[in-house]
Amino acid sequence: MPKKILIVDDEPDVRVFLETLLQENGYETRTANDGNEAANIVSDFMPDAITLDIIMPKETGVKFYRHLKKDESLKHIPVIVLSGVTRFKDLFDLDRQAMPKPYAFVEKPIERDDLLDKIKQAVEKPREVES
Amino acid sequence: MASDKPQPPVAEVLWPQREVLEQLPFNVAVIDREFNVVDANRDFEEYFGEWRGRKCYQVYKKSDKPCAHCNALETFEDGETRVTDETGIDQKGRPTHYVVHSAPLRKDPSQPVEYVLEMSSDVTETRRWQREYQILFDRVPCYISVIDSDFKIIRANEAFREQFGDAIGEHCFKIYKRRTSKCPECPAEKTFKDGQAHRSNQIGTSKKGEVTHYQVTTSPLRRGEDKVAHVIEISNDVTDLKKLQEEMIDAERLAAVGQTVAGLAHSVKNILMGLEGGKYIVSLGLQKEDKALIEKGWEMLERNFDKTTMLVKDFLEFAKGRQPAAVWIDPNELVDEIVGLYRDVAAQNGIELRADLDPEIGQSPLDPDGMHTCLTNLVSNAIDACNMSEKEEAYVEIRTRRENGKLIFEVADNGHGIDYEIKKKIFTTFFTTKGGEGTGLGLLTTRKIVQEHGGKIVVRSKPGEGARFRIELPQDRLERLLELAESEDND
Repeated sequence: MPKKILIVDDEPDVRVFLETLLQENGYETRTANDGNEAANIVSDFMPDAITLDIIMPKETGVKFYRHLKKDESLKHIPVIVLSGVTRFKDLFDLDRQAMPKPYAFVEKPIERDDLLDKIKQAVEKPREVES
Repeated sequence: MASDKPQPPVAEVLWPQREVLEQLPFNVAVIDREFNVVDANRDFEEYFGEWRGRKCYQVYKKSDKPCAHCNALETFEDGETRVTDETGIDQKGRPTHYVVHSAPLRKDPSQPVEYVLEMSSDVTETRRWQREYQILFDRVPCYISVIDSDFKIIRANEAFREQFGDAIGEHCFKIYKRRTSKCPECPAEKTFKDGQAHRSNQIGTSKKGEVTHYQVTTSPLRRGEDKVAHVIEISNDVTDLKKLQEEMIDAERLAAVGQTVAGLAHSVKNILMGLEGGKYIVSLGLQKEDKALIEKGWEMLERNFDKTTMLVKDFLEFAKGRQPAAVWIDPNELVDEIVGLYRDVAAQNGIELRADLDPEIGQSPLDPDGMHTCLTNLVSNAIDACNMSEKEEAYVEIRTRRENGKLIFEVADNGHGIDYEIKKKIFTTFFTTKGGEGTGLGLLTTRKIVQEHGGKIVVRSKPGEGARFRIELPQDRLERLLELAESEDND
């Protein structure tokens, strides 16, 4: 059975790109164009990993991330954060509610092999999630 | 005392109506040619103490020898009345200032002067006030000058003299501004004419040749109901404040540039991501000989090339000019122009575009192209916002106002409004809610132009109820744009 990846991004081109790339590499994918939509489908889809753009209008990616990590049945899912913002790590460091760090960060525009490596690691041996 | 009955004072003999002395509102003493105090009223005694059997210098000055210069002596000799300022010691030993009138007493003018009547009044308090007033006048951290109706300076305080140099008798325009003729829009001239206080901002030149910004208040000085005889000019030096203000505007500009660059980088990265994706999908399609995949990738490439073109175009617009080319224009005319441009577009979308203009708005220095771009951006955003809403009667309204020395433009709509998360970002990044349609530069450009005009733009909005963008432009900063433009021309 193929591993499942949820792609969350507000840019249609990025969704198509990642969808094509991941399907081509043997993953099953679903996409969400913002944090709200992602929150609605994540429990149902139960992905093995999530790629998340944290800079999105309306519900930000950070809000979705917080929702995920508060939910006992979802917090184990590794999240790979994608963003064009260079200092995006600060967004997590500044978060007052101490959130566990994302599994990995990937800067846009992505290196295909780098992203594929990180996703492979994430679905094969997700780290123990510290509470 | 040798006798129970005191000896009548000599002057009492001389002057039967002695009681009059007690009615006079002065300290009164009578002295003879040997400087003996021969009579005095009660006020005098209360003021200077015991006088009986003493010399005048002992009483007035608590001194044991006659004064170096004696007015009474002169009056004894020439029979003239004199008025002099004196300092002495009162009965409690305190230094005192008094003014003394010395008048001759004699049986008739052909006779020699027998006694001198000295009427003195205390001016210690007055002198103290004068001294304090002088200190206040000199030390108050303002430039103060008094000018006469010929615009000549008749008094100036210490702060004034330090900044502008010796000024007494000189024309004010020469001293304040190193000019050779009267300044246009002179506030002192207005005060001479209408007797009212006037305030204005001025730029002068110090004695060292430094530019001095000051805020001057001119107030009338007059005697009774007569016309204004003098004008007092009190000025606050605002040079440092002005400098700080300019530094702040510069800092705001720099901050805007920083945010712009970061935003640009973000936009470019997103486009690169799209190009990268398109390239990958096309090559995958070629590899698999899958025409549908190739087309999908090709569309992505085209879309992102278009985005690049649009971004570069907007960015050039954004980067255009630094200093607004301000000219005096009527803000209402500018709004009429925009309404003319957008009325049809709005009507086609079922939106009423209207103007609510202050008929008294007057003129302001503005960069017509820059403000045109600002209003165009705001109006087209407002029309988009109305299109996104499902309200039956949509409107966009442009208003002009003057409030507290500021020129105000407002663009209000009853469209879908802006929620909090978005409101935080609209001016700060290449932020767009319009997907591929916008570059996120419109409001950023608007804010930049407004800031370059020395103003600010704020937004009020409730989701679902519409939005109101408000541009506030302080008139004095707008007028400063003209000065800056002039000084740049001269450089």
